[in-house]
Amino acid sequence: MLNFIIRRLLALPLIMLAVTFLIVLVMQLIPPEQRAVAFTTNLQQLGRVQEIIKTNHLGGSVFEQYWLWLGQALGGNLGFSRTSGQPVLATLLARFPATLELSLFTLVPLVWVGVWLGAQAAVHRNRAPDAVIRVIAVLGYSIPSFVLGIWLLVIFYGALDWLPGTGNISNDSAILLMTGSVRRVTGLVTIDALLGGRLDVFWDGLKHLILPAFTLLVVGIPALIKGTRASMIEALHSDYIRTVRAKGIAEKVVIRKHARRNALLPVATLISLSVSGLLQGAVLAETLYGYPGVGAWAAQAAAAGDLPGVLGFALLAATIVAVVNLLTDLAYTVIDPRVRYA
Amino acid sequence: MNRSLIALTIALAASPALATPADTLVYQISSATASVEPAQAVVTYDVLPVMQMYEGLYLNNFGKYEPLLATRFTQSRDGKVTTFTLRKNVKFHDGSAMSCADAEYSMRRTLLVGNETSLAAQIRANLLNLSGFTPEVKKTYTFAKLSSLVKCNAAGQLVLTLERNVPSLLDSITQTYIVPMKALVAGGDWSGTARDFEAFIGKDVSNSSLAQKPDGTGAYQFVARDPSRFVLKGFEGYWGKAPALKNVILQKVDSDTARVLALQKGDADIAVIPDRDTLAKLKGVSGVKVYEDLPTHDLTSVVLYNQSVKDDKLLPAGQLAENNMPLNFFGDVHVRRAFAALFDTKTYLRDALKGYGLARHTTLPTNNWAEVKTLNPPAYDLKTAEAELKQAFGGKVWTTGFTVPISIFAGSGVSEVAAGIFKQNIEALNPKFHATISSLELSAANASLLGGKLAFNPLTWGGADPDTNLRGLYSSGGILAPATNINDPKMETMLNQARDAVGQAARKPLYKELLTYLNQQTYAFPLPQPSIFAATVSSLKGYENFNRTNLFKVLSK
Repeated sequence: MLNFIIRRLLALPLIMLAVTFLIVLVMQLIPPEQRAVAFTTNLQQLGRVQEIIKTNHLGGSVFEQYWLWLGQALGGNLGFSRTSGQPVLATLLARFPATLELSLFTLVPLVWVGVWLGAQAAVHRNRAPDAVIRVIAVLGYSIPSFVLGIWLLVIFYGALDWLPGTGNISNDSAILLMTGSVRRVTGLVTIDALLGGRLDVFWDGLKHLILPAFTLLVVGIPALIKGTRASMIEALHSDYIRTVRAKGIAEKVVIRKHARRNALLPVATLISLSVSGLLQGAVLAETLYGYPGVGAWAAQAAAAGDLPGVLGFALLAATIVAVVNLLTDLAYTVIDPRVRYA
Repeated sequence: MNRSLIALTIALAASPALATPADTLVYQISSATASVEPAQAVVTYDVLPVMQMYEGLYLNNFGKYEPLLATRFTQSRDGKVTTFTLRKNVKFHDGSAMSCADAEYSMRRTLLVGNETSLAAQIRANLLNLSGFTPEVKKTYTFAKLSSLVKCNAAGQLVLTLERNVPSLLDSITQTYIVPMKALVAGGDWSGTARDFEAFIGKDVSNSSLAQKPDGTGAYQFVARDPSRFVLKGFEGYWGKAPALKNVILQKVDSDTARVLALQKGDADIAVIPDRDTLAKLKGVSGVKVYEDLPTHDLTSVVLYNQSVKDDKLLPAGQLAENNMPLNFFGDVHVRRAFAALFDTKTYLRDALKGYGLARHTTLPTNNWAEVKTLNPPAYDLKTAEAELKQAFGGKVWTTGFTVPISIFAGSGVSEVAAGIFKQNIEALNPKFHATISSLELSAANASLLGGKLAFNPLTWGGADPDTNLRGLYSSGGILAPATNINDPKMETMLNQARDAVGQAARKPLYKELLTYLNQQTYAFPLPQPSIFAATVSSLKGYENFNRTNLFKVLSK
């Protein structure tokens, strides 16, 4: 097992190298002049394009450019992001807690509700609850997330005034955090507010999480419902379940103790995919709700041709996905003791 | 889709506005403030906070230069030496008093640091004619040279000694912000000496100590920032009148819908409105004030012709065909005049600018002091266009025909309307005349423009001084030269004469002569200048003045 973990951790740098190299390679498809123009902000700067190409080595080969970035990155310098106006590492550190908080507040209900609904749909297959749950899944698949986000904003912020419209915290609470009146420990607003004993700030942060988390939930839940349903149906029709039922064990126990556990293996894979999906969804949800996470920044960086910013985000995303995959593989051994890694 | 949702938003958001505190301004912007290093900042939402925290010796108040950290200036007869008398009792936000040494250091630093896209680079180009720090330039650009350009005299005045008269000097002065030397040196910035001079030549200082901890003399001082907010408070030691609004929060909100909602609900005092359709829907909404027709500042919209397009797909110079055009198509003055006469300005004003645009006289910005209101640009007239095209290329254009490529910027409604007007009128004039429209992403379009690949296109150009504007647009040494390929020695001489004359009174008649000549040559023609639109809460006062100065200190509630 330890060997397996070490091997997987050793593969992580290779994944990072491959991901970042691919990004530089794809950027290289755009002519240097066009990439240089992306550095400019007005027509007066167009006369500087050749200088920009030279200073930023945009005219060099993909290997030259990658080597330059890699040399910096290995020294702990991920470069400077034009879009954030700060070093990439500082930007990631400032913004990642917001994305993590949003992801955590989304993932827990996503897994809980998604798995429960999927299991219920399987247990009540072809009956009313199944039909309702499948409609929910189809709706989740069908509604474009940006449309849903705007609807939620208009209804719950605009019309009803129940929830805040933008950001991860109100201006008043933000100033308390920015000026140190509420100490930043984890960077997660809700946790820091609780640690600082500020229930008002905690409640404020929580209210700001509801709309973006709900949007991500609606986007992410159909896959989990359908996956769990299919996996559960397969488990419920397996021979061992038939045997258990023949022994006269109560149906609730059959489902909880025998069917659900066996159905969880593919569901664990789906959950790990949901984490990657949350990162992608964060780009949209953060942009829509002005949530100051890495997703919104990555979208800006990509649009502005901010290569260090894009590469920084890619490193973070690759690390998260690789770590989550590793944890998922380890979770398999817990769910199914027959799974062993050498 | 988005527009209809915004309409729904406005209809649904019926709850009464709960205003932000009376002493606080919440300004919701569409993109975040990045670097607030005054030598670097050129992007709108970087410049905006910089202008509140820092001050130059003079202020550009809508084309009029007003004393700020200087009280007056004198100039030598040849315009090369300018002496600024500095204001007394000015303090930096760190509590230290401003001295001439600070002004000297700030000016020298601006002429030293900053990468190729920085504000400092633009100032160097303007004052020193430096297009960049090439190895050759670096050899001669020494600390001794810089010191001789900028120094304090015995009377504590700042003296600027340039190699030539720079007519747009004050424009650069307004953008050279005065910073505290001691604080910067202590923070690891340039020492102000020859010791580390070379290390700071053209250095990107976006992440300087000043960017991390801003320290200027402005009416507002930095409080804190997070990824979506930039917070300022009124500076108690400010030399001028204390601002009415004590706190300012610049808040980045990406979603147009969220910003519009925030304005209606009183969560924002000013919100960036995406378009005029949204603005029209906000008109009459309780608690919201809309501004439909505010003037632009130092900007000019023009259609610029390329006299020698660099595109292999085009015909060699002088050759004509119905399905193509020659590289030098717009090198013929009759073609240029014809295309100007083909442009239906009224339709453009109605469809692209929704009726809000200023009529133009020349290609100078409407607020420019050298504007000549007795001149008139070519008018929309199909008969004139026909007559000119019958003379073009010795009369061959009319009989042979042409196909002109028009490039538009993806997502730019204004350029789509302009292209549509050209295409419709070109093709209506003669069945042998054609136009093809293709769409380019903005950075690709700008790269094509710079590469001289675009035949003609509308663009917006800026600059406070007529020389900055006209040289950039027309001169063979100007920034847009690769996109225009104009080669007109007579015009260059006129440009130089107007630049080298000292004082507005002496320059004005020279510009009248030059602008008259440019109207005849029609290297470009002006488009109606779009008006600015905005929306604020109705309790906010002074927005018209803010539009002219960009200073929060003129706002109140």
